Amino acid sequence: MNYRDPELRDKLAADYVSGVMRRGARRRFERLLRDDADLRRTVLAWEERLYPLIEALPPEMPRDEVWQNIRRRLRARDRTQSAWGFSGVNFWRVLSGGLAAALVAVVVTGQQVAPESAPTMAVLQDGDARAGLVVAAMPDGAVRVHALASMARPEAGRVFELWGLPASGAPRSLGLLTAEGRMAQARTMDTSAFTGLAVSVEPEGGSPTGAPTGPVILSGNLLQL
Amino acid sequence: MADAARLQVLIAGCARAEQPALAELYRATAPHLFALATRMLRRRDLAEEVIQECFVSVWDNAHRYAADEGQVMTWMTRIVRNRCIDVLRRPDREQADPDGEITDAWADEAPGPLARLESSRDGARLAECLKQLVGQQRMAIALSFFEDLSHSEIAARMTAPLGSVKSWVRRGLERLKGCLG
Repeated sequence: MNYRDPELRDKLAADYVSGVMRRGARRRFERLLRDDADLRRTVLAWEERLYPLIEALPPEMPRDEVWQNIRRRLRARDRTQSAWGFSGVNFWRVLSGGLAAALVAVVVTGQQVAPESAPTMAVLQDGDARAGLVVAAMPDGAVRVHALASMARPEAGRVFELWGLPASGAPRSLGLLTAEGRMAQARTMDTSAFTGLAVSVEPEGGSPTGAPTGPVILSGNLLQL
Repeated sequence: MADAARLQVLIAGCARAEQPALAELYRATAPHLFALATRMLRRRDLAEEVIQECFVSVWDNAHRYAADEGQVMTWMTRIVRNRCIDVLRRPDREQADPDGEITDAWADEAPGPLARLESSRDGARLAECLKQLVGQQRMAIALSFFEDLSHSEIAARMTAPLGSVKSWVRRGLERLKGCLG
């Protein structure tokens, strides 16, 4: 077919918008549309002609639940995004309040680690800026995780998974946490690739996809000490 | 329905992540979009799902909306309609219009959808033009638009030869284009 013939293009656009164009042809046409602004304008002209047809139908407001579900979905996502987009503001607020200094003392001295040998650490907080988990990465790559009393326990059938957040790109799994908030398996990691850490809720065994699938409950920036 | 300029303002609000803008957009457009989805899918639960998905998608993509891609209502109708077509063309699709409601409603110019279209702001002109078509042209176009039927499915529904149906759709659309200018 000669897709440059204006009459043919108009006919195809009309078939596409009216709905008589079927599966295979429709897919091929949509591929053409992607790279052809003029064809998109031809389609738009047909849409503006035919779409007012919907005003021939008696309008009906969907049940309240539909709007509530939309709002819930937006809220859930906003929370996740703000957690991933965590910029460290909360961390510094806590730090300036002296709480983080106390945490550092607890974690570092409590675990017999001299400050100079703990090059990076992160205080992970929830959405209300409550610290839940302190993670320290030792120079030899060993990771120490210390859960604070305020940290929630996972529900039955769920686990907490720790993620490293690179400056750009997808989060990388650093392993699962026990219910007590310790690393499920002792391991080492190179934290230099990450600017922050986060904890998400995952099904037993950890994220099935290799990316966080559940809500992010804690996050925080990695700081060089 | 709110006028096109107001809908543009609301989309701009959505692009700035202002939820009240989405709420007003929903109140203004959801009843029409839901009517379309229910009409096409013939299942309220599926139509509700489509509306939810589409408004989340509108929220996510509001910053990509550009006025040269058509009016806001056109843009939103496209999102809903394409989603409905995806649902309908799944392998387990349902038989559409089993009660022949559309076939009857669009057969003559009497009351019903045409009258409703005529009294709407955006559709009055289209209604005028639809009236100039012969009944079979109008019916074939309505079956294709609202029921997502192919030429041969329309032929079966209207018990008419395939060739006639193809020419009703084609000529009907051409006449509409000429009439709408």
